Amino acid sequence: MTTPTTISLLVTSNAFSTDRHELAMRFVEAAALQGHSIQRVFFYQDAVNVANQNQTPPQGQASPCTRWAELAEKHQFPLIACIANSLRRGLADTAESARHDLTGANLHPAFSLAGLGEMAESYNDSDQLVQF
Amino acid sequence: MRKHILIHITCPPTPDCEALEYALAMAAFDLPVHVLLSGDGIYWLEAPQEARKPGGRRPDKLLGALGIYGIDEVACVAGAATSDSNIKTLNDTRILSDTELHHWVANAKQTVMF
Repeated sequence: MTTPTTISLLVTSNAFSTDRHELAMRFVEAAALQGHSIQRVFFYQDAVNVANQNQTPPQGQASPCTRWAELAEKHQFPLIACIANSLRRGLADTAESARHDLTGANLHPAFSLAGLGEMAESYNDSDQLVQF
Repeated sequence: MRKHILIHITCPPTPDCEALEYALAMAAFDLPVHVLLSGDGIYWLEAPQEARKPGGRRPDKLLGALGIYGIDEVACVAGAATSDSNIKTLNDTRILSDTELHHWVANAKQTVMF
């Protein structure tokens, strides 16, 4: 019997040129099946691009953005994109879009923007940090 | 003694110094941070060096600011890369022995790779 732990994920890889997001999603499913809880998934560096709601995958495929959203809904954990890394790459929610006078928000509603303080929290509120 | 966050940098300096920004942010929240440079990561130590984009931050200056944020544990791993004569500041940087490296890894609560 495995002792339940709380786990935070730090995803730094690109969703479209690596398989790291696929592995991270499988990890989440496996961890949840074992009774562990996912505290948060934090996207940093090029991983934040996965939060762009304008992804248009080929017919018959689900976008990684949608799949993360469904997984977060299923297992009830927040999807957080680093605010500085996101803005640097042209990703913004409604508030940041207005603040920086951008043409519009493109952050998927399942994701939120926050600073690295969220990852600092993981030091205290998570038993494990797993990076993908 | 609190376990530290080990920031292990193996990539060369980048236009946006997001690896060091992560380390600085953790230290700003009073968390114990160790920074380990290995492989191409030791090129962060080269000084002086230019910013990797116009108006960007100089990687060596940012690395030098770690102490201001309370990050005193900065070291590199000995190996073929450390023999590169272009790394002018290497002599000032601590080089971990195998035993010390084991200690750094074993006593980290979190390890983040860049």
